[in-house]
This record gives sequence, structure tokens and C-alpha cells, in this order.
Amino acid sequence: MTTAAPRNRTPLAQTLSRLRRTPSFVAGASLMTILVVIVLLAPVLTPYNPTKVSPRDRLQPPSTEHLFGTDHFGRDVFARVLYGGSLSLPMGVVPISLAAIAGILLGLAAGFYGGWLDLLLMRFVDVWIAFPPILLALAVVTILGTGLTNIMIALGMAWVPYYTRMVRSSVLEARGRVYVDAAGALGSGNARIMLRHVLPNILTPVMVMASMGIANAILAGAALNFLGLGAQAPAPEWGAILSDGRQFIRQAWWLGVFPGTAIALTVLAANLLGDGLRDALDPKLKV
Amino acid sequence: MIGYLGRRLLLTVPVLLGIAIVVFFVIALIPGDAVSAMMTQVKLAPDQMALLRRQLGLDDPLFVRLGNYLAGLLKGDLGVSFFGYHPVLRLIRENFPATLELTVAAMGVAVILGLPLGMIAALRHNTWLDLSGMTVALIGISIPGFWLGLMMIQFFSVQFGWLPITGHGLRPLIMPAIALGVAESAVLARLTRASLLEVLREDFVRTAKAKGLGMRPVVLRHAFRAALIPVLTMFGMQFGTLIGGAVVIENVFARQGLGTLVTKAVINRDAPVVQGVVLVAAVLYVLVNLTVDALYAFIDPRIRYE
Repeated sequence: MTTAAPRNRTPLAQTLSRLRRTPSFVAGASLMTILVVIVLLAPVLTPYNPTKVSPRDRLQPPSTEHLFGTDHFGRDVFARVLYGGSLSLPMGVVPISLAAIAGILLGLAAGFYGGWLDLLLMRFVDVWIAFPPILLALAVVTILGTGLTNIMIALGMAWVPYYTRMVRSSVLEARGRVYVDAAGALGSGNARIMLRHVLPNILTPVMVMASMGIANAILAGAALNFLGLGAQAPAPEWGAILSDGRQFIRQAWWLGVFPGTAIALTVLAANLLGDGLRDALDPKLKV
Repeated sequence: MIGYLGRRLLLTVPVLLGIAIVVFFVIALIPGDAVSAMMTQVKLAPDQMALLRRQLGLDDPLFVRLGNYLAGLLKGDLGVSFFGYHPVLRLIRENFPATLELTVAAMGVAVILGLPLGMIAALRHNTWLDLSGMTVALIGISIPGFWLGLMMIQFFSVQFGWLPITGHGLRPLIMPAIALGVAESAVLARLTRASLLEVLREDFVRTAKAKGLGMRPVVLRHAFRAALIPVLTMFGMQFGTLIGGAVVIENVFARQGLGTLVTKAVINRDAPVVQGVVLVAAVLYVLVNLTVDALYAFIDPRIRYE
């Protein structure tokens, strides 16, 4: 070995170098970056307005003028898919962030304080986890009504118990460690112990779970939008584009192929990222 | 064994009760009540609305309504749909078999595709077969099932006319089962591979190999049995995903079932139907996982003592 690692590298630098050597992480991160950049650059990459109706250009096949063809309203599909990304990508990130934050708070409380609070919270989690995410989301949409924001809230709620369970068990594990006892003995308060000593320990499993969760949330979000419960016409969310163009896919394959591929590529990137993070940060979970 | 199952069963009772209470409150929280929700269909005078409210018990205090709801559940009364006034239990009974058929067929697809893929990947660990198998699995979990369904309809029905989209018998079941099952098969392949790799490293496999048994009998006798565990795990873990997926796939293929029932109910804000289907799905989830736990204990006695 000619390039021995310098001794005083920070944990962050070590983690980054481990991530750089994990092929699935590199592939996932690159693909995700490309997708995000394309979505952000939509106004530069296409001159078309994603919602502008142009009856004359109805159902045109892909051409140099319309890269992904046009839909039954003559709207440019390339523009719709590109702009749709800014509605569809948050479908993965927002619900999972909500679920992870709520799960961390509940799991920390249950694991750290224990006792009746733990018992009560965990029995509630047992009940909560029994509701299949899509169905729980359907129930929440029945209460809140349809719409993109409501779907994101609904999906976020559906995934909270998974994070709560995982965080709680990580907290229980961390609590048994010597340095947590030491911090207590040195007079640190509960809040300080939780934030400074316990929280950093649970962030790795949460990150791994969240990155995989993003893939599932994008799929579930696209499905709910496809069912017509989220984005309302003419918003170009990917699932909504598919359900919108559904009756015309027979004559116009491009209405199905492109938005679907966009969803699949994004989910693939999120899955690769998740696999990579897990392999690099938490090898014992490796599947 | 009996003691273990008894304890497990006992723990299930409060969970089931909890599910019923949560479902009740979820719908009780809807702004506006059942009567105003019905008003989208018929118009009633205010005094008639008040009468209907009294008759439906909506004026009672919340805990009385909860008590009535739970008592109704015990008698199999899941309420009445706001639209058409059919008993919810009957609607669920009529639609359940089609959903069950679809999910079982999808599980079949998952096992047929996923189990061999996972086993081959594990037995040829770190070879190109392993790598390509796992790449296929990764793509499998990344493709939205409903989109796969749409594409299959386009190619296999519309273009080539090979498979029917609707109708009776097995043939119209093929495409929806694949659309729902492909992601599950990918999950199963990954689980099987991981669990088989673990088993292949265990002492008893090494002993069997040391005794001079070839790879084939070793794998068949020991490892295959151990591979049953991931199938079970997947079934327990993925049951919720499968039911959720069925909701979407049924809509793609315009199949009858709980999924199309509940989607229509959500759009109409037909609370009792949504409530009923969600309740049934959650109870099924608990029962499936109870069965899975019992089967674990049966296959691997070590699990019981945890």
C-alpha cells in the first residue's frame, strides 16, 4: 500500500472515502444528481410550457421538435416529464423526511425514558404498523381530501411507525454503552445526552432506512397520483401524466413509455443510493 | 409450542382492538359528518337532516358512538355505504375473493421468479450470474407495478392480442399477477440470496460438505429448508405492500376487488366503505403475521425461545 490513510482523518472524511469506494452508491448518486439537474434545468432544456394546450399538435410522435412527442392536448411530453420532476421528486423526499423526524422523536422518547411511555408508544406502533401504507394513505386522503400536499402528509404518516421502532431499538442499544453512562455521571442532562450522545448513533440506520424509503415513497406517491388522488389536472406529476394519457396509450406509446421510465429511473437511483449507503455505513445489514 | 402460540395470540387481541379504535377515530375526525357527506347525493331539509343524525346516532357523545361501533363490529356490522346504502360487510364479501385471487397469484409469480433467482445468485456468489441476477432484481424493485401493467396491456393485449385484459378464468389473471408480483419477486430474490449465503456459511453445511456430500444434496436438504424462512418473512413483511399494490393494479386492469371498491369510496368520500376496507386489511395483516410467526416457530424451533 503506497497511499496509507493519514491517521488524523475525521469520521466524516472516512465515511466519505468509504462511500466513494462503494460502486452502488457512486452509481446511485451520479444518476440521482443527473436527474435532479435535468429537472432543475427544465426551463433551459425545453422551450415548451408543460401545461400549454395546442390542439393542432395533438398526439404527435417523438420528433426533433417534440423529443417525447405530444399528448392528446398537444402538450409537449418532454416538457411535462421535465417539469413534472419538480412535483414527483418531492413525493419521495418530503414524506420520508416527515416520517423520519416523527419517528426519531417518538423512538427517542420511548427508548430513552422507557417505562409506561415506552409501553404505550410501542403498543400504539404495533397498531399503526398494521395499516398497509397505501391504505392508510387512502384513509388520510378521505379525511383531508385529494391533493399533492395531502398525499405527502398521508404517506409520511404511514411510514412513521417503522422509524419509531428502529430508532427505539438503536436507542436501547446506545443507552447500554459506557460513554452514555459516563455522560450521565458527569452531570449531563437528559436532553444533552440524547442530542449529543444517543442521536449520532441512530442517524446511520435512519439514513439507510430513509434512502430506501425514498424509493418506496416515490413509487407509492406515483401510484396515488395515478389513482387521481394527488396532483390535479393539468399539473404534470409523473403518475398523473400516466393516468391522464391512459386512454391514448394505444395510439401513442410515448405517453406511457417516457413518464414511466422517468419514475423507474428515479426509483432505481434511490434504491442504488440506499444499497450503497447500507453497504458503506452499516455492513451488517447487507442483503 | 402451544404456550408460545397462546402468548402470541393473546398479544394480538389488544392490537386488534387498537386497530378498530383507530379506524373509528380516523373517520370520526372527518370534518362534517356522515349526513352532510350524504348530501352530495340527496338534498334534505334541515329538520330531516337532524332526524337522520339522531337515527344514525351521530348526536351521541363520542365514546357512546365508539361503544356502538365496537359492539357492531362484534356482530359483523361494518356500517352502511353512503352511496347505495349497501351494508359494507356485503360489499367487502363480494369484492374480497377477486383481491385474494390476485394477491395469491402475485405471490405465486414472486416465488416462481424470485426463489430460483435468489438461490442461483447465492450458489454462484460473486460471479457474473450473481451480479446480473441482483441487477435484474434491482431493476425489478424499481419498476412501478402499475406502469408495468399499462405497458403489458399495450403490448400483449393491444398490439399482439395474446392475453385478455378482462374476463373469467386464469388467462386474464396473468398480466395483473405479473404486474403485482414482479417487485415482490425481486424482494424475495434478495432475501433468499442473503439467507442462503448465511446458511451456506453455517457449521452444519460445512460438516455435510466435509462428510463428502456433494453441493447438490447439501443445498437440497439443508439450505432449501432454510430458504423457506425468507419466503415466509417476505409474506409477512410484504403483505401490506401486496394489498396496497393490489389496490392500484386492480384499477389499472379495471378488475373487480377491494382496490377498485376503496378507490371509488375515497373519491366519493364514502367513509364507511373506506373504514371497512382499511379495517379488514389491517386485521388481515395482523392475522397473516401471526400465522407467519407460528410457522417460523414450526420450521425453526430456536425462534420460540427468543
